[in-house]
Amino acid sequence: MTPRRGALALALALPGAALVGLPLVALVWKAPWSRAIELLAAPGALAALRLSLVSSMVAAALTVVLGLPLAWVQARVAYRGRGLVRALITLPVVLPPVSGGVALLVAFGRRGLVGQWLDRGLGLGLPFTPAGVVLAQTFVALPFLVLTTEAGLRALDTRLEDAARTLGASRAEVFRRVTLPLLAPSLAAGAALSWARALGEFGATITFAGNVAGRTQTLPLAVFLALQGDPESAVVLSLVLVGVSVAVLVGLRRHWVLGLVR
Amino acid sequence: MTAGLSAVVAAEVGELRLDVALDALPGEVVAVVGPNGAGKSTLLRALAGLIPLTAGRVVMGGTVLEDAATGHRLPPEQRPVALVFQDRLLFPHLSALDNVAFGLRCQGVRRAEAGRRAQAWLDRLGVGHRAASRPATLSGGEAQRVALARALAVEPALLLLDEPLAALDVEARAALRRELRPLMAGAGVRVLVTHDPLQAMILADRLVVLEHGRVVQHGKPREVAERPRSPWVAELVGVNLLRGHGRDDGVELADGGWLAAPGAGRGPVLAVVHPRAVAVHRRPPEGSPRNVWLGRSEAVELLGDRARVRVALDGRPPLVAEVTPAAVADLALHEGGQVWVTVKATEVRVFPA
Repeated sequence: MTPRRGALALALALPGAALVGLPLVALVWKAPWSRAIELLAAPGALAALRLSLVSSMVAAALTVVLGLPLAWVQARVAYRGRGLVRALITLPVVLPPVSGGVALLVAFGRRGLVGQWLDRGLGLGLPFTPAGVVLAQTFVALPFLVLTTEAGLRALDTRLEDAARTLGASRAEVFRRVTLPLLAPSLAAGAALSWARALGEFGATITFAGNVAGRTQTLPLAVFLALQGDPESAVVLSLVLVGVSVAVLVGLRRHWVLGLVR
Repeated sequence: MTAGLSAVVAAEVGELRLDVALDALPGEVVAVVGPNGAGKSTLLRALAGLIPLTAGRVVMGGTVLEDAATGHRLPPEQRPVALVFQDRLLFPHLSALDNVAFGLRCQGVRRAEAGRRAQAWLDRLGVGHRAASRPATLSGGEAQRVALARALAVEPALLLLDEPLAALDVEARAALRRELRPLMAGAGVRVLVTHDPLQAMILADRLVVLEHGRVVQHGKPREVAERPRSPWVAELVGVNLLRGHGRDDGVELADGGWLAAPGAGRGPVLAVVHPRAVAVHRRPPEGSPRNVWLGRSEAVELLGDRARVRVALDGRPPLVAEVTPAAVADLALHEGGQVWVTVKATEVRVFPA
């Protein structure tokens, strides 16, 4: 590439980079560093941070438990309607989270399709509880785990599993000693992605679980609320979320890109 | 047969329809040879239980592994079988030692004992010093040795080897070929798939030639070499094979022409002409050899102190002649052009087809 064409490409790429980079720079620039500790230590903020960390980790763990069998079936079982199921699994990625929250309400709400049975039969009320927060987060995060793991399964050389079986490994042993270790990088990448998605969840959570301080108010909800009263607090809390997200990206490095594209 | 292998294998994979009967005595090494796509690997996979039989029955050491008629079918892990795959398929996440110990662990051998036995196998195959290495860091020869150790470690009654030397360079191949024979000794049955004739001749007690999913010939390596029954086998053992009809003192060739050969018998026959019995001339030969043809020198291949010249004949399969490198130079055979080939009638071997 000639220097001139290189310069042109650079000039064209700059606005995009600026669009993503400038707000982050502004966040750091405008942060009230002197009050940071004080704002973070506020009871509401700490409770929201704790709820966010715990609920997102539980949600990530749930995506693994629910998503691995789903990814397995999608990658290994040829059945009619597999494409349809894939579209359904992918839907939460593109669905407006608020709609997801409404859908969750009519399914799992107190008078919802399934919720009424849970409520009356088991006394299990999900909406406006921490469990509801986890459910909403799992709903939006599951596709990331399934798609990443399915890609990993498809890339796995199944002949290695054949080799294991000829050496005397039962199906369960093959899964535990060959498939799972080989799948671990994809699974870890998927879990980290879904965790990050769960951590940032806003729309579905506020719709389905509400915004009860100390009970269902996650960090993103706290940021939104703080913005109306104490914008400086919102900036600091946002920076915490940014920091966590960056940490995830650095931890994953290139792998998540490979996992999704493959 | 109770102790050895008795198998009738019919299976379909894609275009290939495999239909093979294979028997082997305990301790016997059977080499399965044949062109690409003949179904050699498919046969091994079927014996290992990785693909189902559409018909047939596999019995090993008195145990029925699979019987298509009754639907009885032991899964791969319950068969006394180990398979060395063509591309080795070592587990990339395990060290060489853990790869070899894998089968033993599956058999319930304790970790320490499995490790000790795996190390002994690695030592025996000369790669003991690479025990801690991951497969990705091994050379081709080392990886092949680890793959062999992994299969041998479970001490299978039926050991299946799919082109165990194919992926190696010439040097590593020669080294491992020498060591393979003692490793293959034992009470079990060994089935070796190869396209390397030397390997088959050295290692095998018996040869099975597979073409298009069917056995076209089987027997001791010597017998097969002396009496090839298909052009592919003839080329494998490096002789010319001509098909025709016996007329007592010669053969009426299927592709036209006459091959003088005393004692040719009657009926459909195959005639084997060793390349050494084929002479090449630039001028019409003097005297009265009875088999003379005009052709074109096509290709010259040097084999140590001999050279092989392929001579194309009009409307007939080419004949391969063996000459000295000096003759190649004298007759300028590498330049192509018209040549006369003669075959001594007394050096033609004819047998019933």
